[in-house]
Parts: sequence; structure tokens; C-alpha cells
Amino acid sequence: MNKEKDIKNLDQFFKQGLEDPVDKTVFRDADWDALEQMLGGKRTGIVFWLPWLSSAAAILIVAFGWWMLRPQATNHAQKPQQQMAVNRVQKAEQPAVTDKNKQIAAVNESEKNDINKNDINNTAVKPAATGKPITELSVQPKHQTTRPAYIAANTVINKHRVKGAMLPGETVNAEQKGSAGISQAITGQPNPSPDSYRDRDNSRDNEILAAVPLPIAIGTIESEMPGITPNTAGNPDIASINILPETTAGSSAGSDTKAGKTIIKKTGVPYRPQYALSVLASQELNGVGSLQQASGGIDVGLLFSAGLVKKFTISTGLHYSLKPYTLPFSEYHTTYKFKNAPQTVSADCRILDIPINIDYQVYNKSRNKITVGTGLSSYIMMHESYTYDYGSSDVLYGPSYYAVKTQGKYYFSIMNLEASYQRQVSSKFGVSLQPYLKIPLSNIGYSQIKVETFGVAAGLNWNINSLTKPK
Amino acid sequence: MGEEELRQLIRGCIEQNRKSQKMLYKAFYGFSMAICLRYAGDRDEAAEVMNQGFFKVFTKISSYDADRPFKAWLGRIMMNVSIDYYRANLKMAYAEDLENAEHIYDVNMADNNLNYNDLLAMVQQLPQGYRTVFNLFAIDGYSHEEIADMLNINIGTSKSNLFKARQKLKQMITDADSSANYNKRIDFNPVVAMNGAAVKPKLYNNKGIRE
Repeated sequence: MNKEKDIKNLDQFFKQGLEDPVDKTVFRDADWDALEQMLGGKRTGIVFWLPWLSSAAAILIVAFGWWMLRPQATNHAQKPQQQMAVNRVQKAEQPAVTDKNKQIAAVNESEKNDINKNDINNTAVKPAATGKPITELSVQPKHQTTRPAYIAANTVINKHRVKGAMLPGETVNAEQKGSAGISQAITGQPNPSPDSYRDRDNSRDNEILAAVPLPIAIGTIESEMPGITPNTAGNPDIASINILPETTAGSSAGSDTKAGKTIIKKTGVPYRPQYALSVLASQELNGVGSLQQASGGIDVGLLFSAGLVKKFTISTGLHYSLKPYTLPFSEYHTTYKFKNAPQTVSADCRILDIPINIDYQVYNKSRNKITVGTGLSSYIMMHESYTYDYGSSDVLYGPSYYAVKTQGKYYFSIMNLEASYQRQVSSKFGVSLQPYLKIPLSNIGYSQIKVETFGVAAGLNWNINSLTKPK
Repeated sequence: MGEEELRQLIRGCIEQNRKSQKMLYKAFYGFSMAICLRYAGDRDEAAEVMNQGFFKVFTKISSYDADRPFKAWLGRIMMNVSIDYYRANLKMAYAEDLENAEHIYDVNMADNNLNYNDLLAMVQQLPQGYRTVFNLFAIDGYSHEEIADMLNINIGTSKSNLFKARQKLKQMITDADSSANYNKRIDFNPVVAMNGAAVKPKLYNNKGIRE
């Protein structure tokens, strides 16, 4: 008796619990769209063309990517030390470079007053007199002027062009503008042109503030520096229902009935892609090599997603990220030879991130949906600067700040790993929470490092199908 | 939704008015989905089955007897569509004789706090065959004879599937209870953490631990 009672309790328990849903399933436009197509709805407006537009866009993206990544006839990337040597040889044979770096010495305030024009003359240009190879030249602060100093100049202050001086990341200036070229004096060849450090950095303008007292900074150095519709296709359609036997025979759904038995036919519901726009904002952690010593950054973005296949969504868009990070000097790569190595380097990068991701829906019940995804991102550097920390404020030994002026472009260089939880608020809008990890596939930025990023994005999703579908 | 409003919508649906169809669809979306979700494995499948049901409703609404409750008519359509949808897959479902079924142990269901979503998740975790029979028998009130006829299976298979479904559901409830008890710190002996730094070293002088 107890056993029967227990069984009845179980049945009753589930019956009562499932008869009155507390959290009713939210209406989904995509479901109505699918039914509308079953009913013979016409597809009009932009949605009809969206699949074609999406396909065209995808082809263009792939073609653009291929074009950008195609092998180039220029020199391959080399290690900075190798480039330094090669540049000296090649500079006489190659046309003028387009890289321009400006490095401005950091200021030793305590020594400002001691400096006079003689100092400037001493520190400005001496390579021709010494005959030293120009690649050995380096930034010399004021307090080291007992030795020959081939100093970088402050381009902002005096606008005097000084040829041949070496600055962080600089090799040799080949452009002869204005005054007589020092490089010519050194190499004995007219208008030498250095090679670029990297093929893709050929058009860089860099600016460095070097550790030179302000009055000393007198010249300009030009150098080379481096968004699902349930896809029912293939699923069996239900031919008839038991409670409507009298109308089954005339069903427009194409069902058949034989001697009271139901025959199941496959009719396939027409496929209808789903499109959505998402606005995302995230807090993220950036670290070099690992996230143990990570710095906080922020990211905002706009994403367009297209559910082209059941459970799979392709998304792309544009993110703007602020990525500050700090790295030990040992991991910082530059061709500039620091007389005294800084302890740490702090980078401030502002990046346009163009991701192309594919997401797979692993869970979709009631209002909630969970997806996991991966993809590739392209970075376009909008701002890139480095601050050098020498650890002690007593003496300044070298450059304190370096800003890369031109935009570095790194196509499909970042791998994205992401998971997303979405909760549907209404048929048109939803909110999402998206943890993500960005793993660099190649070195990024002037310092050629791999910055990993972990973040959690909060987003607002808008189902744009609701605007464009036929009424 | 008022009776008059529903009648107008049904009239619009008979005239194949798309706007009326959509309004009716939205009005009974939650109700229909609740039924289909019980029979389906996930929401996408449920939506697919539900649309098949609404397709039947819109194409055969002229046969609807206005004297009968629309909701009951719609509910039965959804249930039948769900059964038809899974009938094709029942060959792969579990079909086992009653003799092989194991004994069900007792579970106290009075003390748990399982809500609709919990119960729905449990039912959806059942294999198709078990789920369909359990829904038909326990929730929709059909007999084993009717279920066997509807699903083209033996009565013994229907009973076995129901037995197995109950067994699995009880196991899930037990697991959920255990998890809840753990979270409430019930029936578990607490483990006392000691701060090693606070323990002062003591010399026992070989007097033995009992002294």
C-alpha cells in the first residue's frame, strides 16, 4: 500500500509542479517567423537579402584577409640585433625609408640650469669626427658628457634636424633634409637609407622623449623604428492528429491517413536566419605571457551576429579597447640600446579590435541560452606608447617615454575563446554576460610581445529580425 | 484574454488573417510551449513541435467547435503533435520488459523545494520513451492501454517505461535533496579548521600521550 501511495505521490507531485509554470517561456519572434514560413508567408524587405549580403561580406573579408596576408617581396622580419647589422649594409642600396621616429629625451630637472649652448654643441653631433659606426651611437644624458655623446634631440622644442643620432629603436637616418647629412659623412655614401625593422612597420613614425635635459634637446631625429531559427529541415513532420480525424484527409500539410494509422512525413520547415545587434562593455585584465601580473583595461564594442545554421552563430563587429599593461624590461623588445636598462616598461595601448567569431549553442531552455565560441581578431593600434621605469628617481639614465605614432595593423593575430550566457528579457531584447580570453597568435605592437587578455563583457542584445520581418 | 476577444481572433484565423494568427499564437505561446517542453528534449525541439501544432490549428481551425473550450482543444493538439513527433523516434527509445525493472525505493517528496524549472529539467532528462509514457500516464492521465495504442508499443513496454521513468525521477529527486542538504549543512559533521600558528608547541617529556 505504501508503495502505491508513494508512486501516486510522485505522479501527483510532477503533475502539480508542471501544470502551472511559474516562469513561462518567453515569446520568441524566431518561432513565429518559422511558423509564418510554414504558413506560406512572403519574405520581403532587407531580411530577404541579408543572407546574400552576409555571404558577400564574408567573401570580401576572406579576400581582404588573403590580400593582407599574402607573401610580400620585401625583407622578412628579423631580430633587432640582426637588423642593426643588416641595415648598415643595405642602407646604401635601398631607397629612402618612410619610417620616422622622434624621440625626446626625458628631462633631468636637477641639471637643467647647468646646461649651456656649449653642451648642446658637444652633445649634438660628433659622429663624423669620431668615425664611429652610426649604429653604435646612443642617447647620452647630460651627466655623461665626458664621453662623446650623440644625442637625440627634442623635436618639439627646437625643430632642428640632427642627422645620424641614434635613438631608441633607431638604426640609421637616411633622409637628407635641410642640413648636410651626417650619415653621409659617416658612411661616405650619399643618401643612405636604412631598412625597416619589420616589413609591416615600414611607415611608422615614432617619437621618443630621451633622458636629456631640456635645453640640450635641440634637434629632430629621423630614423626608422621599428548574431537561430530552429532548423527543422530533415525532421519529420506530423501528418495528422488524433483528435481531428475528420479533417486529416484534407490537410494542406500533406499528411496521409491509412486505416486510422498515422503516417509521418518529412516536410521540413523553411530555414530562416536570425540576426542580432549587441552592445558590449567589459572590464578586462591584460598581461604579458600570463595574467599573474595583469593590469586592468576596458573594452566597448558593437557586434552583429547571424544565426546562419542551427545552433551556430557567426558574429563580427568592432571593439575599442584600452589595454594598459606592464612588463619587465627583459621581455621588452626594441632595437634601441639602452645605456641603462629600465626595470619595467608600462604600455598604454588603445586598440580597434575586429573579431570574427563562431558560436555554438550548448544550452537553450526557457529564457536562458548558453553558447561557447571561438574566432580570430584583428588589431589596429590607435595609440601605442611606453613609459620606462628605472626604479630610482635620483638619476635618469635614458628615455622615459616613447610613443609610436603610426597604426600597427595585425590581421587575424588574436585567437578568441568565449562563453556567453544570454537571458531573453522580451522577444526583441536580451541581456548577456560573456567571459572571454584573447590569446595572441603572433607578436603584437612595437615591442613585439604577446599580451593575453581575460575579460567579462556585459551586453544588451537586440533581435533585428523583429523590425524587418513581414507583418 | 476575454471570450469575445478570443472569438474575434478565431474568426480572424478562420479567414486566414495573419495578424489574428500572430495574436493567437502569442496569446497561447506560453501555454503551448509548456506542454511541448514536457515532451521535448530542449526548447528548440519544443518550439519546432509547437509550430507543427499551431500549423494544424491554423489550417484546421474551421473544424473547431466554438462551444468547447479553445484551450483544451489547443492543449490536446499540442499533446498529440508531441506524441506524433516522437513516434518516429520511439524505435530508438528504451523498451524493456517489466520483469527486468528494479525495485523503486521510497523518497519523501514532501520536504523538497523543487520548482517548475527543476521538475521540467528532470522530465527532460529522461530518455524519450520514458518521458513520453510518463507524460501521458502521470500528467495527461492516459491508461497503459491507450498509451500502447497511441505509441504503437506493447502494454508491458508502456508499464516498463513508466516504471523506469519513475525510478529515474526518484533518483533525481534524491540527488537534488542531497545537494540541498549539503548546501544547508544538514546531516554533515562540520570540519573544524585550526590555525597552526596559534598552536603553541608543547614538550611532553616522554610521559606518554595519556598523561
